[in-house]
Amino acid sequence: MYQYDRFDQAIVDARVDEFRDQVARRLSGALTEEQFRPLRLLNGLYLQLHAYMLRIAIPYGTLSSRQVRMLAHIARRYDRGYGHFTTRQNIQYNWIKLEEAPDLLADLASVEMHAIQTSGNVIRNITTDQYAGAVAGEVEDPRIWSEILRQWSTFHPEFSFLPRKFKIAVNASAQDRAAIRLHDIGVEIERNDAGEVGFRVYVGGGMGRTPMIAPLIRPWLPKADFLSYMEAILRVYNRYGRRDNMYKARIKILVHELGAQAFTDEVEAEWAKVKTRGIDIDEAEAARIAAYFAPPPFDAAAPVATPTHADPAFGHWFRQNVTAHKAPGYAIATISLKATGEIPGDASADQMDLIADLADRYSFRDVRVTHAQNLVLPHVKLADLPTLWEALREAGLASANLDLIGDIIACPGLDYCTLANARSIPIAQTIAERFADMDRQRDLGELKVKISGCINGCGHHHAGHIGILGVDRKGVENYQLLLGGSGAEDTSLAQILGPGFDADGIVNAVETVVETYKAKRHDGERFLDTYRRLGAAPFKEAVYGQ
Amino acid sequence: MPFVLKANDLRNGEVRYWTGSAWSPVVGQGQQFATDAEAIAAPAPRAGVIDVYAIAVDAGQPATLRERINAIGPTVRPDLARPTGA
Repeated sequence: MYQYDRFDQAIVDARVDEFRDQVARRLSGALTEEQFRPLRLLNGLYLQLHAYMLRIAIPYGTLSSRQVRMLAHIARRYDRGYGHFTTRQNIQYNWIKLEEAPDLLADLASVEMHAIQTSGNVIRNITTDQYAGAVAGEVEDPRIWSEILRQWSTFHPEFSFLPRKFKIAVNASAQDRAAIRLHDIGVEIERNDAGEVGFRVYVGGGMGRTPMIAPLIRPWLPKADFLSYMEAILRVYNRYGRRDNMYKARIKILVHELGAQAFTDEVEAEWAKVKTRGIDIDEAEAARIAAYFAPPPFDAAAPVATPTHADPAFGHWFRQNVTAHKAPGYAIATISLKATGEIPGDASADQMDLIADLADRYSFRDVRVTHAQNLVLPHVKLADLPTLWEALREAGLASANLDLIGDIIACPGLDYCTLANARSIPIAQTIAERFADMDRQRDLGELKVKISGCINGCGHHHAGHIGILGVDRKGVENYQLLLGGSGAEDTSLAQILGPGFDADGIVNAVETVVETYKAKRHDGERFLDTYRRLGAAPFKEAVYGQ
Repeated sequence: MPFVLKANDLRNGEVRYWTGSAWSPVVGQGQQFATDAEAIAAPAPRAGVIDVYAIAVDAGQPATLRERINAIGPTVRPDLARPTGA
C-alpha cells in the first residue's frame, strides 16, 4: 500500500498542529463557533446528537494492520470502545471530545492517517473495489489511480470551496463493487481493442434527495490525460454549479439541467485549455505510485485444494464469504460486521485488534473496508481459511451472510445523526432477526437491503434491491419501501412501492415482498431479476392488497 | 407544553439542560418555561456551550423522539444510556 513520503507526513503533521491551535483558540473563546465550525468540519469533526463525531479517512478502503490497531486504540482511548465503518469506506467515532481531538489526530498521523476532507465542500474520500489487487479478472489495480486522485485532490487550492461535497469512485472489474454510476464522478478502468488501459468516465450520479445515474461523458480517456480531464470536470462544476441552493448544488443537478452532451461540450472546451498546463502525471510518476501496490510475495507452492472443516458451518462461510483470488492457492475473505442483532458496520476495539492480528498472520497485514460496511482480508491462503474462520467465529465475525438479506447496509440514523428523521439501525436489526434462519437466507440468495434514516441517503436506499427510507410523519417514524435498486454494474434506482409503514409494518412488508419473490421466481433468478421481470405490480398487490 | 433550554457542551459535545443555576446533563433537572422565547431569554451563561435552543417537554421529559434520544443516548446501545431524571 502507499507509504507516506516526508512531504505527505509533513502535510499531515502541519495540519494537526494547525488544528491544535484552532481548538485552543476556540476553547479560549478567541474563535467563535461560527468562525470555528468550518475549520472543524474540514477536519472531519461534526457535532452530532450525543457528542462530536469524527470521520477518519481510509483512502480507497485500504488499511494496514498497524492502522487497524490504531483505530482500536482510538476507540478505547478517545471513544466508547467501538467504531462504525461507513458506506464511503471510512470509519466514524461517535463520542469524541473536542479538547482531545488534536491528540487523537496526532495519534492518527503517527500511522499515516488523518481526517482531512472527510467533510466540507471538497473532494471527499476516493472509494473503490474492496477486492482491488486481489480479484481475478481485474484490468489493473484501481487503488493506483485512486491514490493518484487522492494526491491530486488533497488541498487542491482551486477545489477547496466547491458548491457542494464531491465524491469519486473507481472500478476496474466487470463486476462493479464501488457503485461508480451513483457517484459525482465514476471511473471505470478498462482495456481497449488495442490492449491499452484507459478510462471510461461517468459524471453526475448520486443518491440522496435527487437520485440520478451518471451518464457517460467520456467513453475513452488515455492514462496520459487522466488528471487534466478530471481537472476540467471540476473546473466546469466549480464555475457553473449552483451556490444559491444547497439542495441543487451537486454536480448531478448541473449535468441534468445542462444535458449530458452540453455538459460534455463544456468539459471538452475546458480540457482543451488545461491539458497543456502540466497537470497530468507522467509515466514514470504513475509507475512510482503503482509500485506501492505491487502484489505481496505470494507463495507459489500454496496448496490449491478446497479447504474443509468438520463443522459444516465452515462450508457455508466458505461458499458465501470467500471470493476467488487471482493468485493460485489464495482467496479473498469477507469479514461480516452484520451478525444477527448487532449494529451494521460497528466493530469493537477488541474485534479490531483481532482483525489486525489475523491480517498479520494471514493476509500480509492488508485489510479492506467495503462500502457495504464489512471488512475484507484480501490475500488469505486457502489452506489457512479454516483456522481463520475459527478465530472469526469466536469473535462473532463469521456470519456467512455476504450479500444475503442479513447483510444489511444501515446508516447511523436518528440514534446518532442530527440530520436523521427516523431510526435505521433497529429496523436493520429486526429484519436480520426475522430472517435469522441461515437456510432461509441462503434459499433467498442475493438480496441487498439498504436502509437510510433520512433523504440524504447515506444508507444507499436508492441502490437497494429492497430499500427503506425513514421519514418523520407528524412526529412519528414512518418507513417507505422501495424496490429494484442496484449499485452494481446493472445500476438502477429503487422505486417507491406505495404508502409507508410504522416500524413493525415495514418489517412485515419486507417479509411479504420476499415471500412474493419466492412464490414467483424462476430457477436461478435473484430477487432483483424477478422484480425486473415482473415489475412492481405483484409486489404491490401482495403488500397493499391492491 | 413547557420548554427547557438545551445546549451542547463545547468541550465534549454532550447535551446539557439549563436548571436555573447550572447546565446539567439530566433533562429532568431542566428549568421549565412557558414558551420557547422565555427559555431562550433565560440568563444561562453561553460560555462553554454551543447550539443553544429550547425544546418542548412533557412531564419534564422531551416531547419529541429526537430530543428523547438526545437526552438518553442511542436506543440501540442501552448500555450507554444516560439518566434523564424521569
